[in-house]
Amino acid sequence: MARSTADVETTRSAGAPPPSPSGKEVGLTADGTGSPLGLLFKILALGLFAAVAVFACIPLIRTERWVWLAVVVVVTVIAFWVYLSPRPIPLKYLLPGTLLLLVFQVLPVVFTVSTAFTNFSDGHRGSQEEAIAAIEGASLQRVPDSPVFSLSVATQGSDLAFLLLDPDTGDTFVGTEDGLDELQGADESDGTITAADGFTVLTTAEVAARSEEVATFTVPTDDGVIKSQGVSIAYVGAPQQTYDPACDCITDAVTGEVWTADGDVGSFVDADGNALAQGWQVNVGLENFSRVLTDPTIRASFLRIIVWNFAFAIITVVITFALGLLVALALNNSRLRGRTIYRSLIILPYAMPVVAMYLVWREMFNTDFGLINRMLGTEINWFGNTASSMIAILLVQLWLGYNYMFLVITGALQSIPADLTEAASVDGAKKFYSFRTITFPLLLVALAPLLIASFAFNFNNFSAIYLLSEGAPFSPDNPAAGATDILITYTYRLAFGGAGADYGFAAAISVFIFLIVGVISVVGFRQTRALEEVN
Amino acid sequence: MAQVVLDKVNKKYDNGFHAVQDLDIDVADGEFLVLVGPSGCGKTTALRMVAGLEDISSGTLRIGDRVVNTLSSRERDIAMVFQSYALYPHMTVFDNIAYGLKIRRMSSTEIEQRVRKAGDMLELGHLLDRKPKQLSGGQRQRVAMGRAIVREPQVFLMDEPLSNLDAKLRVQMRAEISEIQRDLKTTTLYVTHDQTEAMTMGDRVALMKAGVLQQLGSPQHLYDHPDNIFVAGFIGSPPMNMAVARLIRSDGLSLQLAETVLPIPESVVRARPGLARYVDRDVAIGIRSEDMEDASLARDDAPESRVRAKVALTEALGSEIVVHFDVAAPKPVTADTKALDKDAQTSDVPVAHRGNVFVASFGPRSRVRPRDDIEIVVDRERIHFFDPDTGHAIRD
Amino acid sequence: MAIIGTQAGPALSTPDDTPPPYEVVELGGAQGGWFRRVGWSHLVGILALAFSLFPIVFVVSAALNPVGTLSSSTLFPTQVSLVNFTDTLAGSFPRWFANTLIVGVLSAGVAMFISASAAFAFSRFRFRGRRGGLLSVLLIQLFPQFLAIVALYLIFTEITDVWPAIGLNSIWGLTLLYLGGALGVNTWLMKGFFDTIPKDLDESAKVDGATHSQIYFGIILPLVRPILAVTGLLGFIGAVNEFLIASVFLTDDRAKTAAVGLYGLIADDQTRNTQFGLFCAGAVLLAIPTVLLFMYLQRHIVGGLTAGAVKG
Repeated sequence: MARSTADVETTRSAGAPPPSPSGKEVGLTADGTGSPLGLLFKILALGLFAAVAVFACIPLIRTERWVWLAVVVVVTVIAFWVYLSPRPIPLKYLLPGTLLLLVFQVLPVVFTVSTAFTNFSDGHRGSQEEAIAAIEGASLQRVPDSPVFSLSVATQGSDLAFLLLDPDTGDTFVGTEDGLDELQGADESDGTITAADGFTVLTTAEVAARSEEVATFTVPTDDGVIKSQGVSIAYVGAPQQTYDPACDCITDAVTGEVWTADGDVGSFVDADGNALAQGWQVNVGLENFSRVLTDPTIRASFLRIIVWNFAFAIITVVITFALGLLVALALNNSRLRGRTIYRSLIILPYAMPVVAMYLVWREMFNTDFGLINRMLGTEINWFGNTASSMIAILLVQLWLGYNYMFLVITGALQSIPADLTEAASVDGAKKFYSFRTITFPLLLVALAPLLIASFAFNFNNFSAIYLLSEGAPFSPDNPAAGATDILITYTYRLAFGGAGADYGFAAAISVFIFLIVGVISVVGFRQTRALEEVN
Repeated sequence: MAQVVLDKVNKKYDNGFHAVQDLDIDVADGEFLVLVGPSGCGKTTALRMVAGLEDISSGTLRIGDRVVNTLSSRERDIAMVFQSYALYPHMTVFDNIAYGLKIRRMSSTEIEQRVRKAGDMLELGHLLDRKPKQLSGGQRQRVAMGRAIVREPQVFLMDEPLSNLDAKLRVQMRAEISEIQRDLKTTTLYVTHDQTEAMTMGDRVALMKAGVLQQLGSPQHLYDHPDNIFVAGFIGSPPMNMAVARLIRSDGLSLQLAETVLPIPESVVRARPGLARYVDRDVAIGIRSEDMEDASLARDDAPESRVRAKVALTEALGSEIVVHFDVAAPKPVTADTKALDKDAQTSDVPVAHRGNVFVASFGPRSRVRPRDDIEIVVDRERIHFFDPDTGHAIRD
Repeated sequence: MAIIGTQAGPALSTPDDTPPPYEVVELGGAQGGWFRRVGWSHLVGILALAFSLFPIVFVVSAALNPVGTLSSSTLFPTQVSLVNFTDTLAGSFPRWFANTLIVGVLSAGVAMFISASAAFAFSRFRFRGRRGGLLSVLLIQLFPQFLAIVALYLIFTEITDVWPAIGLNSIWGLTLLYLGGALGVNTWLMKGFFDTIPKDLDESAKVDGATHSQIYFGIILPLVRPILAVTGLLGFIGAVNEFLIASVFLTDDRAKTAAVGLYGLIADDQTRNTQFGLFCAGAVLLAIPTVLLFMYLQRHIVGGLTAGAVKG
C-alpha cells in the first residue's frame, strides 16, 4: 500500500489545495491548515512523533540494529514530508493506517510464511556459531588438577566480577569478562573474600536476583574458562566437546565421538544419524509441509483435525441457525405479548464476555464437581472421550451462537413481504409448505453472507476449543494433536505447548490455515459481491 | 460582482472522454446566463470547472480580472447551489447558512446579521432552528439559496437547482430566483436541461451539445434565429416541426413539400442569399406551431400559403387547439436530429414514432376534428431553412 | 483480526423499535386454539429463555456463594454473600480489569479514528493505487491477525529486546497489536458507509471555502457517527474477549487482561475448585461493561442520518 509521490499527483482534481499563498512548497500551513487549533494540534502531533522516533532510535543504536534504525528514520522522514507538504492529501489520511497494517498485519503473515520454510524451533534458534558456543558451554568440565576457588560475586560499576580465593594457596584473584588478574588487598573471612577495593561484594539475595547472569558468566583463562558452580564455588573448566573448523565438526575429547555439521538440517550429526540437541536455524524448504503429508503419524492427526475443523464450523453454523430460526419464528408472532422481554433476555449470552463464559461452561462440565454431572447424577468425564467432548463443545457453541442467529433472522424475516406467502396461500398451499418453499429460501439468500462469515469465524474459533477441551482427549500415539483440536489450537500447541516449541512446523500449519481461509473467502466473495465495492 | 470569462476551455478525462470542447462564454457583470442542453452535454462539467471542482484541461477561466484556473474553490469567491441542495444533515438551517461564513472566520455578530437577513429574504426566519430533514422540498431549496446568498460572492453557480421540485413549486421558485438575482445583481451561471427555465430565467442562454457550444444569445434570439437544427429543435415547446422539402425555381423560389408547392416570399429570399445555392436541391425546413393557422380562421391570406392535410389528433387547451397532422415529407436526419431524438426519449416530451407528424396551434375558435381534411395557412415569412446534411441554418 | 463480534460479523439490523413497512411472515395461525395462536410461541420462548439464562444464573449464584468452591456452587444460590466480590477486588482483578479497559478503549478508539481517516481517503479521493489499496484492505481483513500468532510472538520477542515498553508482557504492545489488527475490517466496513454520504456535501463545503481537513472533521465525521459507534464498540468488545494473543503475550500477572487473568485463576486442577467463586465474581464484574455496551450498541445503530437531507 505504499505509494510514491507520482501516485498522488492525480488527486489534484479531487481534492487538491491551492498553491499556498506564500508560495512555500513545504511548511506547517502549506496544506491549508488555517485554524489556530488545527495548527496547534499538528505541531503537537508532529512533535510527539519526532520525540517518539528519537527515543525509539536510542536502543537501536545501542544494540547496533542498523536496518531497523534505517526503517525508523525513513518512516519518520516520510511522515514529516507527508504532513508538511501540500500535495499528498490522500496519504495524509492513509499513512497511519498503512504503517500499522504493514507492521501488525502484513509483516506477521509474511514472517509466518518465511518461518514455515525454516526449522526454527527450540534447539534451532540462532546461528551455527551460537550453537557451537552453546554446545561447548554446556559440556564444560572441570580441568583435572585445577584449583577449586571460593567465589564471591561482586560488581565493578554495573559489570559483574568474580572475586576468587584459592583455598590451597591463599592467592586472591579477580575475574572479569576480560580475563583473570591478581587481586591485592582483599578482606577475607571464613575462606571467602568479603570486601575489596573498587568492588562491591553482593549479598546472597542480590546474587539470587542476578542468578541467570551469574550462571552464564565466564572468565576466560589460558586453560579454558572460570565458571561458577552455585554461588560460592568456581572452577576452571574446559569444554569436553569442542568445535574444529577444519572438519566443521564437534569432537568429544573423552569419548572420541564426532558429530559433523549438516547444513541441510542445521544440526551436528554423528555417523549413525543421531544429532546433538543444540542445532541452528536453516532453511529447510518444503520439509515442514511434506512432513504434514508424508509422516504417517502427523498425517493421520492432521487429516483428522481438518475433518473435525470443518465439521465443527459447519455444525456450529447449522445448529445455531436452526435453533435461531425456530425461536425467531416462534417469537415473530404479533399476538405474542412480552416479545421485547423474551428478545432482550434471549440474546443476553451474546453480550457476555466469551472467555469467561467458555470457562464457566468448562467447569459446568467438570467431571467431579460440575453442575451438569451433579444435576444429571452422572460422572461423565465429558472431555475424556471424543464423542462427549465434541457434544459438549457443540452444545456450548449452540448456546453462544443461536441468539445472534435469532437476532439476524428476526431482522431478515421483517424484510420478506407477507404478500409473497399470501400469494402462495391463495394457491392453496399450506402454511408450512409456503414457509418451506418461499420464506426459507429467501432467508437463506439474504443471510448467506452472514452464514459464510459465521463459518469463517468459527473455523478459527480458538477460544471455543482451547478454553473448553484444550483439544482433549489426546491419543497416546501423537500427544501433540487432540481429538477435538482444530488447526489453530494445533498450531498453538506446536508453538507454545509444554513440549519443545516447533515454530517452523507451527508456521507451516498456519500457512495451511491461510490457504483454507483464502478458499473460503473466494466462496464468500461470490456470495457477497464484495469485490464490486472496490471502486 | 464580476464577469466570468471562459476562453477556449476544454475538459478531457483520463479515459479520453472530451467532455467540454473549446468553450467560449463570457458572462457579463450582473448577468443571468443559463447553460442549457440535454443530459451529458457537458454543461454541468463546465459549471464544475468554474466552481473549481474539476480541473481545467486547457483554456483560460477568468473571474473578474483574475485568471482562476489553478485557484481552489475557496479562493474563487463563488457560491454554488447543488441539484441535491447538499444541506448538511447534522446542522440546523442557521448553521447550514452560516457555514461558509464561519469557515471564513467572520465575527459571530456579522454572521447572525447576515443569516437573519438572508432568512428574511427567503422567508426562512421561523425555520432557522430546524434540521434539514424537518423541511419540505421547497424549504430545503430556499436554504440552499440562502447559503449562497449569505456569502455575498462574486458569482452564483446553480446546478439544476429546481429539478427536484414538483412542477408547481418549480414555477414559483423560478420566479423567486430570478427576482433575487435581479435584486442582488450577482453574476449568475445557471445550469439546466429544461428549455423552459432557460427561456424564462436567462438574460442570455448558452445551448450546448456533446461538449460543444451551439449558440449563445438572448432566449428570443435563439427562438427566432436558431443557428442549427439542434437549437431549433431544443428551444421551444412543442419543438419546431421539421421536414425535408425541395427548393425549386418557379416564378421566384418555391418549396416543394410532398405534393404541395409553397412559394417563398421575395423578402425571405433576399434575407437569405445562401438559399440560391440550394435550388433543385433538398433543404430542411422548420415551422413553429404558432406559425400555422386554420385556414378557415385566417382572413387575408394568400391562397398559395395553404397546405392541405388530414388531422390526426386535436388537443383543445381552451386558449388554443393543438392539432397534430401527418406530413408526407420525411423528417430531416442529421447528427442534430439524432441527438434531439435521444434527448426526447429521456425526457417527458412524447416522441412521434411513425411518419412525420406536425404540430400546429390553432386559434380557439377553430372547429377541426380528427380525420378532417383541412387547409392550413403557413406563415411563410417565418419558415426556417437548414442544410439537410449539416443542419446549419441557411443564411448567407 | 476476529475481535469483531463474538460469533460472526456485527449485527447491524435492529429488529426492535422500527416496525416493518409491511406485514411480516408469521407461522402462527389466526385460527385455532390458544396453543396454536400464541401458546407454542410462549413454549419455545420460555425454553429458549431457560437455555440462554441458566449458565448466567449459575455464574451469578457461584459468585454469591460464600463457600466459593465449584463443588458447592448450585444453579440457584442457597446462601448469598459478597465475600467473593470483596476478595476479587482485593486481589489482582482490579488491575486486570483496568488493563482490559485501557487496552480496549485505546485500541478501539484509535483504530476507529485511523480507519475512518483511511476510509475517508478511499471514499473521497481518486489517486493512483487506490484500487490496489482497497483490494489489499479487502484481502487483509479476511485473515484474522491471530492466525499469525507464531510470527507475532517471534516478532514481539525481538521488539521486547529493543523496546520493552511495547514488547511482550506490556499492555501497550498488545494495544498496538490490536489496533493494527482492527484496521482492515474497520476500514472496509467504514468505506462502504462513507460511500453512502453524498459527495455533494463535500463539494458544497469546498465551494464554501472549507479545506479537506475541515470537510473531514466538520462534515464527514459527524455524519458517520453510527458506523464509528459500531466499529468502536465492537472493537472494544473484541479486545475484551481476545484470548489467544493475550495469553501468549501476557504472562506477568501485572500485565494481564481480565480474560487471561480469569483463565489463570482456574488454570490448574487445584485452584479450579477452590477459586471458582472468585473467578465467577470476576466474570460477573467483567460482564457489566460488555453487557451495558451491547445494550447501548443495540439502540444506537440507527442508520440513515442523511436520509431525507439530500433530495426532496
